[in-house]
Amino acid sequence: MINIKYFIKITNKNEKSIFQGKPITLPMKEKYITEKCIELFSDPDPCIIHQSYASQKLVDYFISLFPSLPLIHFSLSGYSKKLDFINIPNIEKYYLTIEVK
Amino acid sequence: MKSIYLDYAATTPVDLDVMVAMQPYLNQRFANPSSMHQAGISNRKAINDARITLAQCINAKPEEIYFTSGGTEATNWAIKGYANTHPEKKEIITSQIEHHATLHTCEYLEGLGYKIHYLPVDKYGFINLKKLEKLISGNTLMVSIIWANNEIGTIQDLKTISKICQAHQVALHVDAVQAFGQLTIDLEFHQVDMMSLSAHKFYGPKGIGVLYVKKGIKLTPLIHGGAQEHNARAGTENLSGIIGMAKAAFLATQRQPDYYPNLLNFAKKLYLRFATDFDCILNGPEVGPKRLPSNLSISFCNLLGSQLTYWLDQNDIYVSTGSACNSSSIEPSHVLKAIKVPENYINGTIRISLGKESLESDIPRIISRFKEGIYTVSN
Repeated sequence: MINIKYFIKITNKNEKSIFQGKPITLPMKEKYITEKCIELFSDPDPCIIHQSYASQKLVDYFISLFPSLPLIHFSLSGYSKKLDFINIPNIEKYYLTIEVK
Repeated sequence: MKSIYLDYAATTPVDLDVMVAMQPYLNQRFANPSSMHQAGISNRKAINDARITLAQCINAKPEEIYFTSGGTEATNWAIKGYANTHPEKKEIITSQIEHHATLHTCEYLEGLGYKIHYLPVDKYGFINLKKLEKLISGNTLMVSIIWANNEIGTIQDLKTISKICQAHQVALHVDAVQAFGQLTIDLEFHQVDMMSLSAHKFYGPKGIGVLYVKKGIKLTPLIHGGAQEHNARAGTENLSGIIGMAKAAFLATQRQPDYYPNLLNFAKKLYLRFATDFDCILNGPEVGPKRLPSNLSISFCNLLGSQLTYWLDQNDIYVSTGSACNSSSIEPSHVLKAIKVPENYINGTIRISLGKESLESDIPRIISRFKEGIYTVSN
């Protein structure tokens, strides 16, 4: 990992913002955080600090899905399964921008 | 690249000499120390020799040393056990910056009707000694104070606290879990009634600790069963742990005169770099005689310690945050709140704790990693 800052925008086809912020602020489904906690800590009832660590691991996974960065208005069609942990309904209909600083 | 471990206040690696001392007691000298055959008797002797060693390390008497499962049990036992033997006294004085072993034990007693006084601390974490003296009354059961704070390294003026307690004939329990191995402990000088220790903080094994109980102080047992530890703490002894703790305590005591200045020099150099290169504040006293030499609790402006810790972790630097688990949020610890760390710094707190394998030659890499991490996680 290197010192790179990411900024994420998720927009619809008309470029209306659905989400924007740092990757760690992406809304995540609790089920996936718990699954990650079980994988990492064998703990199905994790404390908030462990949940936070698991969330950061999910963010790392999210970034790893897009090896060529930055991304501009990239269609998420075909990513519905891979991005199911993100709590944005019908995410495959949207477009992803990842800014790199 | 080799990771850099900067979390010695959480735990330390077991010394090789300690491992060597412990090993025979795991599979060769395994007999139950309560068994009346040669193998058991020799292990009984080994435990009592370990007790003598521990006593010598803190200038106490062997019969004042009780082995426990660790510092938390020792503290629970000291407070609950003493409360049970003095049911007429219902007030306990402690501080706002105690370890949870003390705070949660006090909260438990609060639920049973005890009144707990939480002494406030100043911005460096020092308790108000005048307030301590003022709070002591005829109803005071005991005072329980952490000697060297585990988060911010503040070393309380134990001698004065002890004098106040003695003058008012109130029992004093001291949590010395972080202090042992870094500070000189001489109980003839310090005169405390009970003291908690934990082996894994000074290169001994986990799961073993000591409660020092001054001769004449009576405690009810916390754990009932067999007659171990002179009927005071039941359960077959953690034989290898006891042997390991004694060896670790002996080595730590021998090492201490060099260990203290070495850690202090390292901490000074490292903190100077932080103070020069970052927008940060040091929590607790300045690096010097009133602070644990191993501890640097540093708060960075406008960032989240948990995110920086994660980034550092992914880049092989192991530190702790100054955060605590709440049911739904990560909050600054009670210690940071008590010393009133400014709002824009409190969430960006990192605890760096040094140990005997910390290398000054790692300072440039530590600083460079922090720079990268802070750049990455800051807004």
